[in-house]
Amino acid sequence: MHRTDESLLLEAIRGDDCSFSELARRWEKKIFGFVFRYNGNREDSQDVVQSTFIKAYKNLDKLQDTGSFSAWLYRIALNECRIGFRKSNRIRDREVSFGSRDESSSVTGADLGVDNVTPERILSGREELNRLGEAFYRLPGEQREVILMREYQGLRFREISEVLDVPLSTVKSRLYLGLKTLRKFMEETQ
Amino acid sequence: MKCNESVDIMLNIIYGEEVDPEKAYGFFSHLKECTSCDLEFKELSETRVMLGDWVAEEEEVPEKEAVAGIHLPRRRVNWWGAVQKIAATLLIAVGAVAAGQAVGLIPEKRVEIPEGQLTRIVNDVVVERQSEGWVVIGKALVSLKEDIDSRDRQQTEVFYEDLTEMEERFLRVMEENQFQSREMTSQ
Repeated sequence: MHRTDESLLLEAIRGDDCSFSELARRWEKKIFGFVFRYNGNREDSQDVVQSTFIKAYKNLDKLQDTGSFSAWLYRIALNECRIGFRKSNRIRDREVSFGSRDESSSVTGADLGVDNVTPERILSGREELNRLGEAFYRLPGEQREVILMREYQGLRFREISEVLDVPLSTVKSRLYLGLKTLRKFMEETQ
Repeated sequence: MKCNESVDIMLNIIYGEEVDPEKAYGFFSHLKECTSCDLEFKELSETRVMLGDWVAEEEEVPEKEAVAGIHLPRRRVNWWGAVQKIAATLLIAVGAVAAGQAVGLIPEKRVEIPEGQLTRIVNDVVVERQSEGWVVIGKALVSLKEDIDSRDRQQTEVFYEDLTEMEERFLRVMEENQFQSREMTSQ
């Protein structure tokens, strides 16, 4: 029988560790993806994910609205990321490799408006993605966070506003500025 | 529709958020008239496509390090942490009061001492000072005595040397006299 996150959460709040473990299992991949994108370091990301779930576990009784578990969890993960980022004061040893979703397909070439996909074209597309990654990590933290949540976590604008505890208009303006900055960087480094 | 109004709808459209059909129609009509917004819409859409292509190759959670294996700590009251927090709060409070007193924001509390107790304290201090004075005088006396003894020893040594010298001289004179007496007797 499939149990909803909310029912698992209620059981976990009552002290059922198995329910919490099940919740953690369901969310770990998403949270890892989020954290890994945020700091770009695999080892640090594993630590951050661990501390995120441990903090969530310890503070279950402080969760006011069980319906907003995901926003609450993302908020914890984001805080952990920020703490880790401040500690290192930079994105160190970034291990994120940049690639297209399918190297063998014409995704890169096609999206660049190229009909004949040659190795050179693919390489050029890959370089472009590398530059994009570079630009992404140069973005101000608040813009990077919004892009990360919207683009790679699939959160709606309203959910992001809930996670960050800022108005919807702020979420949109950060996203807009982030996209513009990325675009500008790509053009300048072309 | 104005350019600044179009940004909000532009993002909603690019990210597939809900858009009022009338506003969407107004937005696309605006794009036909405004080349700058039209260009921006294309550029933001392209940037989004590029972001969509960017995949972190190692994004998968490693199986063996799955979070499900996290060793969950016991949810219990952290007494040591609480004690530390209380101690820190007290320290901060004491520091704040001291700082306040230093700059005159908080008046210092006057300590009232009963007369009898004050007298005892003064006496204790005087006695203590006197004791210290006697110790100093005693030390000076001992030092003086050692000095005098040392000088005495030196003077005695000089006197002894003088005596010795006088004795030697006396013996020499005696020997000379005896010699002269023998000479005279033999003559």
